[in-house]
Amino acid sequence: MKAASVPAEPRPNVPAHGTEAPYASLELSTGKRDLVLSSRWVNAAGFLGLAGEARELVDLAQLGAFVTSPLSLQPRSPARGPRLLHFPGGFLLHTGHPNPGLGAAVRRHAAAWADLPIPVIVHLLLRTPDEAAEMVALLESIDACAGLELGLGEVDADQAARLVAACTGEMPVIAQLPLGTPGTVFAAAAEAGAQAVSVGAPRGALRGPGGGRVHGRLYGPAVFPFALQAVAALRDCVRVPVFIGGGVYNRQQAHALIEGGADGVILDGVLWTEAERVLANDGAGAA
Amino acid sequence: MLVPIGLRPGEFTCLQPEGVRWLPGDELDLLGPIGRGFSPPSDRARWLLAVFDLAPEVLSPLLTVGLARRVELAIWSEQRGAYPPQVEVLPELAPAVAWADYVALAVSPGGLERLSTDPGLPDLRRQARSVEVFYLPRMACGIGVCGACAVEGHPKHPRACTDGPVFRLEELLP
Repeated sequence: MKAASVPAEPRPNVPAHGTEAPYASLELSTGKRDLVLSSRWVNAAGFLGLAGEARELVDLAQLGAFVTSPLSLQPRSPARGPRLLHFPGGFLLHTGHPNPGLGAAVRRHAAAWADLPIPVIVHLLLRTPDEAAEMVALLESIDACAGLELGLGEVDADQAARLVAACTGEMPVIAQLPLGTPGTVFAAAAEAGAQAVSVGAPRGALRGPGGGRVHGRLYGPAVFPFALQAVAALRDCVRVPVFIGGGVYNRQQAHALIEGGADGVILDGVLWTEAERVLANDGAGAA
Repeated sequence: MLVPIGLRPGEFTCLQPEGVRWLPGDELDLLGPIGRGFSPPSDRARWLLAVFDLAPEVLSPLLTVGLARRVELAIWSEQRGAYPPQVEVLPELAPAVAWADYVALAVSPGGLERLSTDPGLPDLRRQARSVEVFYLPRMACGIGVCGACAVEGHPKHPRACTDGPVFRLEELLP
């Protein structure tokens, strides 16, 4: 990841590292709506469903917030062709993010969001600023939605800024870009009004069963070294809180990201297998 | 996904999933059982088990159920398999479908696509009387949240891991 040079000013909302307990609660606020995370662990979008369907696997109360699966304005169908491929050290997912569309999801799940023990962050798949603004307007009427995570995808700095600007308003906004995105793009998203940034799964490609390339998101232990390297570079680029994950499969790795400068750690594959290796209830993740 | 091909007290036999190499001593962290299985109607007496692009053993438990119910059993598969003597192996799918009053089908994602596009295959939606389909895509989460096993073509995109892996035919090919 390329680092952008920014002045060394204190970051708003974030305690300076080394001066406060690393696991103090984190608050993102617009002045109109607050997103308060009592733990620094959050789930990756797409790993716990739309309304905590996976609560039998994961004690949601140990997360700082519940991030919904990605939602688009219109319904989306599953991707065609192979959607899951393995490689040594991880796996590639190319699902197409099938979902019923934001309106249908709100009708079905908003009541359940209100019953969750932690704040709900709705993850939005964005294409255009107009579409983004329409989605945000719908969610601003939902009290149970405490914040937004914007899946910006593979965009440049200008596109990132325009999409984020379209979403700023009442709710705290977290701008998500894939691991490997230049720091200047993260910085542009933050300057456009994002209260925080998050680093999503890196993109990659594998040879599919038919011989063609399958492109998708990469997960698994092999991703962790890239995440740990990226957090330090990103810390130099933005002054807003940084959420990062990728290949975190035990508490030591999560702590390493925090010590490296992350304000929150995103958990993905471990939530399906051994969530207790990160989320064991000893207070480490909580304030 | 581990597909059981044999279940006895204290014993679980399954096919080794594609691309996996397990060795004695390896530890497995299993989730399940998940989803829903076959539920052949009790009033059907002529069962056809048909398999596309999968090992025919995936329907072995259903063979056991059919034998216990003393129904007439036939099987159609592109791959060879070893079956009890009471099971008739049929070489052609279309007449087998016409004969059966219950069809249990096992398909991979590629097999499902062939079912709806291959003109050489019978139109099960019109010609078969009662069809359940074991649909086996690769699964990632097993809890219905990742979308890796979402069914194409159906407006609600049911997940094989939680809503299946056994579906009514009309759920997969509406």
